[in-house]
Amino acid sequence: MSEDIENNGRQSSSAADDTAELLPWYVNGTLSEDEKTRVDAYLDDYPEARKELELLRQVAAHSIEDQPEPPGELGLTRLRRDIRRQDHGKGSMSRWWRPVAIAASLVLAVQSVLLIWPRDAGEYRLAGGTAAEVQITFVPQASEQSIRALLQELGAEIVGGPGRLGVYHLSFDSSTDIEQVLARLRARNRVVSHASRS
Amino acid sequence: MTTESEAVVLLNRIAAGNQAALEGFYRAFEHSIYRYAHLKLNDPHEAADILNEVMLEVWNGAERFEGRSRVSTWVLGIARHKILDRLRARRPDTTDLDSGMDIEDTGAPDPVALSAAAEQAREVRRCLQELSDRQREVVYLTYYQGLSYPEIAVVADCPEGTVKTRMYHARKALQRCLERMQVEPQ
Repeated sequence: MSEDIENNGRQSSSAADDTAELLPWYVNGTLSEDEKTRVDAYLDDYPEARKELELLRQVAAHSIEDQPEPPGELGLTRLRRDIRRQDHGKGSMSRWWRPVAIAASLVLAVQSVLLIWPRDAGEYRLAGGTAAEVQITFVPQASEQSIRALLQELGAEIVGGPGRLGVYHLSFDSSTDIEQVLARLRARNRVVSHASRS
Repeated sequence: MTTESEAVVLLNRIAAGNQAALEGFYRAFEHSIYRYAHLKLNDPHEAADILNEVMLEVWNGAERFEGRSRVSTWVLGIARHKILDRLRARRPDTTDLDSGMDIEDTGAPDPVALSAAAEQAREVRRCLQELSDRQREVVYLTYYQGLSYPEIAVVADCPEGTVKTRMYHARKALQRCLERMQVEPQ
């Protein structure tokens, strides 16, 4: 840096040119502290540069005027539509239908177990039996992983659904404190949109 | 105003499939993306298309944000690629899409508008319009988007020195334009 300083203490012309290039970002306040210090020194050394600084401040002020307005809610509506179309077009499991599809798969799995499990095994309960039941809907954005983790955490089994409104029926061991389960389900509002006794 | 940390949280939630987060992200960045696209394409419909395409890309690829730049820099970089695709489609035989360092001739000035051009603000805006695409882009990214020159280099996909050079030419062009207007009032 010392070789960039002339005998009179001013920045050399080449160093000054380099520093002058930073003026636009001195105005918008994005320079590092070191760069800002260099520009401050440059402005002290070359007072004539303040004229350009003033020009840049005018440019900064006027360049943000008369900006076109974005489409706002109309654009958001279009985006929602395109996401729906995109998910539909994929034909396979989309983000929206992932929780529904996974839950449906779980139902199928449960039903399969019911069909093939020996009747005298006594390990499962049919809906409407002695087990406590809860009806539940999931938020559309809930991931399969979060639904699965929640059901495992609470020891829940899907025994029915989804209905036309997306309602599933969960079964719990009869010894389960169902009010506590409901409170825990309702607290998970990123996964569960509704939970109540069946 | 969405802070950087809030924007990162929104991206993480979008990556997990949360559409409400995408809508929050849209509201936070629609102005900057749309105006940047409008600046480059000079067409409100195409600018709206770019905004939509960028948001769809964010929806489909939010997990690709690695935190190596600010979210605004990352998303403007996505916008720029899409804008360049549009410009290529307009001018398929043009490889250097926004070349030209001189002031463009934008045609005869509007005598009515310029009859009152003694006002400094109007003169500055007029001169901004006369900058080349590259010059105007750097000025816009500096003063509307508030980006640093390293961030502009990321968005514009060029070396930092090139950003400074473009800004240097923009400053000189603005100075010449303003001097010309004062010497030759319209």
